[in-house]
Amino acid sequence: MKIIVNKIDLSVPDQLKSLSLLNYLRDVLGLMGTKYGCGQGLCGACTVHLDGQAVRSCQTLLEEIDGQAVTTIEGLSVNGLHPLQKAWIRNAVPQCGYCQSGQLMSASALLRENNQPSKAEIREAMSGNLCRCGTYPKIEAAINEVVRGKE
Amino acid sequence: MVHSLKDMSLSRRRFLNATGWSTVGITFLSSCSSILPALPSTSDPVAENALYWFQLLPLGKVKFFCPRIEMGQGVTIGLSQIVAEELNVDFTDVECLTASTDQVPPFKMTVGSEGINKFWQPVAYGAAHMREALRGRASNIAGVEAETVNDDNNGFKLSDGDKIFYRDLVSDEPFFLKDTDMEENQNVELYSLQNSRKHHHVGHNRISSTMKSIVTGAEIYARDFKIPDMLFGHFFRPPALGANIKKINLNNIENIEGVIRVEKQIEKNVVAIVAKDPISLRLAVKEINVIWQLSRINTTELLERIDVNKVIKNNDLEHILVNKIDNKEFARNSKVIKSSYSTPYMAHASMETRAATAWVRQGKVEIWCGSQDPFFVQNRVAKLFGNDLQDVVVHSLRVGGGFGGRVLCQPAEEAALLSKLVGKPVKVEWQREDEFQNNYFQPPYSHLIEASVRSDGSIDYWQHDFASSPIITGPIPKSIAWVVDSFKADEGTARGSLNPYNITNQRVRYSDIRTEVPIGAWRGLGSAPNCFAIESMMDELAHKVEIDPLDFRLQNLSSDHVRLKNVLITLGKMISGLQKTHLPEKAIERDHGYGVACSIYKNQTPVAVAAEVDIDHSEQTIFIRKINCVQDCGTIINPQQVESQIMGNLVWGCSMAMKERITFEEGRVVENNFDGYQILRHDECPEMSIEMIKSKQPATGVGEAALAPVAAAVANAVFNATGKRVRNLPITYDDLL
Ligand code: FES
Ligand code: FES
Repeated sequence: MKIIVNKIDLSVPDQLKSLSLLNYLRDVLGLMGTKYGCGQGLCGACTVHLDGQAVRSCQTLLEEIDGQAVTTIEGLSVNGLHPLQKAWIRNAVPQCGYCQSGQLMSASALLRENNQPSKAEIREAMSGNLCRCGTYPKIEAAINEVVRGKE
Repeated sequence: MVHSLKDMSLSRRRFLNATGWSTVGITFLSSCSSILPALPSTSDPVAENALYWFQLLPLGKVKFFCPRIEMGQGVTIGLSQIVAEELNVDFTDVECLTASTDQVPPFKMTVGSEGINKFWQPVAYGAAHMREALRGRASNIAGVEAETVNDDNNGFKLSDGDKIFYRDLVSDEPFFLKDTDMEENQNVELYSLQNSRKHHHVGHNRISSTMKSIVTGAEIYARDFKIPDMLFGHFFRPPALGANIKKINLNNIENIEGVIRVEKQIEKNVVAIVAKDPISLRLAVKEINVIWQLSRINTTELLERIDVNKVIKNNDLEHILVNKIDNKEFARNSKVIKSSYSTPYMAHASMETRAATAWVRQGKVEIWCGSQDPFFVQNRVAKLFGNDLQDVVVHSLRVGGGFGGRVLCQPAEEAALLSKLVGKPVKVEWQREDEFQNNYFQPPYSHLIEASVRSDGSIDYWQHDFASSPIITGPIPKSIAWVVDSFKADEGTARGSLNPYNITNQRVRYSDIRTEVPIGAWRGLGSAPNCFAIESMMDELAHKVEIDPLDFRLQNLSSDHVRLKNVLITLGKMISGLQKTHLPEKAIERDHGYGVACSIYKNQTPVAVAAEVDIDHSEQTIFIRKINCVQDCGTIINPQQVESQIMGNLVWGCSMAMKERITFEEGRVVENNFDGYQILRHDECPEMSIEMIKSKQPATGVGEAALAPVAAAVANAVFNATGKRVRNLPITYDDLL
C-alpha cells in the first residue's frame, strides 16, 4: 500500500499496515510534531489532516487509508508560516505547547472548509482538542484574527 | 564549551543545605545523611549562583542558562527580558536554555510560582555583573576610565562617540564571570529593578523564539528525544495502588523479533522489557500477561479516614493555625451557620505523558527528561546506583505541562535501570493510563466551618476545621515520613486556609493524614480547596444577612489587606450591573446568576473573581458563561504572559469546579483516561474579562494565583441562580435536584 505524507509518496511494507497512523508518523518516519496524548481519540493531540480533513491519527490505521494524503504539522505550510501559525505566535497562544500542533491542525481544517466560521462553529470544531494549560480563549482570539483577515 | 563548576562534589551535608530541607526541619537527620533518601531541591537561589548562569558568545549574543524549568508558565521569557534589560541588548540577543545539572549549581525545584518573585533579583544581579565586567574590558581596551564608558545598545559608547560592541569584547572563547568580578562590584546597579528608569523590556510583551518551534512542531519534548542506537523499554507498572505481581506468563515472547531483554523479578514487583524499536516493544508488551493481586484501597474508605467530623470526634486535629477566642458569647442577634464542604482527589492531567531517555556507560549516567526538579532526578538516580552525584547528568527538556506533577520523573529511573542492563541508551514512555495511575494526586479535603454574623454584617465568630493529606512532604519516602510527620505540619495542605477577614473570635485547625495514596503538589496546593470552603461560607453568611456578597467581603476585610480591597473594588466596577439585577435575597429560579470569591495567593497576590452561570433545565446543564477577574501581582514584566497565566488558572478553576474527580476501586484509578477524567473542553470555556492592576510593587507569583477563588465563585453563582448551595465539588446538574 501507499500513502502520501506531507506531499511525499511513501510505500508502506505489509508488516506495518496494522500500525496506527500516529505510531507510523512518530516511530517509523520520525515526525515528532504529531503528539500522543491519550491513544483513544479523546484529546486531539494527535490530530492530522487526511485528504484535508482533521482526523485523530491514533485512531486511524494505515490499512484504512491506502492511497490517501496525510498532512502533519510539519507540512502544514510549505512556504513560510500558515496564517494561523502566525496568529498563534502573535497572540503567544502556546503555554506548554504540547497540545498546540493538534490545535493548529484542527483549526486549519476548519478554515479550509469554512473560512468564515461563527464563534459557535469555532468552539464546536475545536472542542475535541483538550488543552490543560487553558489556552482556549487565546486560540479563539487567534482564529478570529485570521477569519477577520487581520493577516 | 561548557563552563564546568569548580566544585561539583557537594558533600552530603552541603547537599542538605543546598536542597534546603533544613528549612523543613529535617537537618537533624543529616548525621545519617548517607541513608537519607533523595529529596526535592528546596533552597532559594543565592547571588553567587548567578556566576554560572551567563556567557557572552563570540558574536555578542548572551547565553543564559536559566535556573528555572519552562513548562508553559513563561518564566524563561520573563527572566530573559530581565537579562536583556540589564545588558542593554535586544530580546532576541538572549539565547535562553535550561542548564544541564553539570552546568550550573543546583537550583530549587520549579514550583510555587516563584520564578519571577524569587529569581528576578539574582538573575538581574548576575546579568548586571556581566555588564560591568564587560565595561571593565571596554575601558581597558579603549584606555579610558570605566566611568566614561557609557551604556549603549549591545555594548558601550565612549565619550568621543566611538562605540564598542559586546562582540568586540569576546574572542573565540565565550566570556563568563569570575568570582572576583562579583567581589569587585558589590553595589552593582540593577536597571531592571529601578522604577524611575525607562525600561526597554520590563513591562513589554516579548515573544520567545520557542513559540515558532512549537507551532511548527519542531519543539522537542522528552517523548520526541532521539539519540543514535537508542533502545526502547517498558515496565509493567502496577495497575493499582499497592498491587503485587502474582504470576507472569511470558507466552511466546522469544518469537518476537526485536526483543533484547526481558527482566523479571517477581519479589520486587518488576517485569520489564527492552526492544530495539517501539513497534517490537508494543508487540512484546501485548504478548506478556502479568497477573496482579489488587489491593483493597477504595475511595469510600479513604474519604472516611480524612472526614473532618470523624477527626474532630477522635480529638485528632493536630495542628492549630489560629486560636483566638476572646468571647464565646455571641451577640444575641447573631446568626450561626455550620456547613461542611469537600473537594475530591484530583489529577494533574498534563497533556504530555512523561518519558525519559537514559544512557548508563562506564559508571556514568546521562538522562534526558522533562522534570520540575532535575537535581532531584539526578539525586534519585545516583541513590539508585550508589553513584556519586557528579556521575549523573540530567539534561532538561521543555515540560508539556507540570502543575506540580513533574517534581518526580519516574521514567528517568526506569530508563536508567534498563540502560544499565543493556549498556545502550534506553527510552521509556508512559501511556496515558500510566500517567493517571502512577503519579501522585491532589488530596481530598473535608472542611467544617461554623461562623456567626451580626445583623450589621460583621462576623463575630469563625471556627474552621479541616482534614486532608500532607502535600509538600507528600513525596518523601515512607522510610522517613513518620519522623517528619511527628513534628511537621504540612504548609502545603494549609496553604490559603487563613481567611483575609477581620474576625475577633477565630480558630483554625487541621490534620494532615497520610494514607496509601501518593500525594504531591498540584496547582496551588491547598489554596483552591481551602478557598472553596472559606469563600462558600462567606457567601452563606452574606446571604443570611441579605448583604451584597462583594460589599460583605469589603466590610469584613481586615484593614491590612489594602491591595485586596483595591482588587475587590475594581471587580465591583466590572460587575456593577449584575449587582443591581441579581440581588442576593432574590436568588431563586432565575437560571442565571453570579457569584464572587477572592483570596490572596501565598499572602502575596490578591485576586478576585466573579463567575456568571446559566442553568439550562431542558438540557440539564450548568454552563459558566463568563469569568471576570482582577489580579494584583505587582510589577508585570510581560503583560501577555501574565494574562495567559491568569486565563490558564481560570480555565483550570472552572474545570475543577465542574468536572474533576479521581476515585479508586481495589487500588485502581477508575478515571484513567480523558473519558473518565474530564477536563474543561473548549466549548465549555467561558468568556473572560481580565484586569491586571498597574503597580510598581515587587512582582509576585501568577502561575497559580487566580485558580484559588474560581470554584467558590462558580458555586456561589449557582446559588445565586437557583437557591441551591452546592458544597461538594465537582458541581453537577444533579446537585440541583
Ligand atoms: S492521542 Fe489521539 S486523540 Fe489523544
Ligand atoms: S498549551 Fe499546554 S496543553 Fe495546551
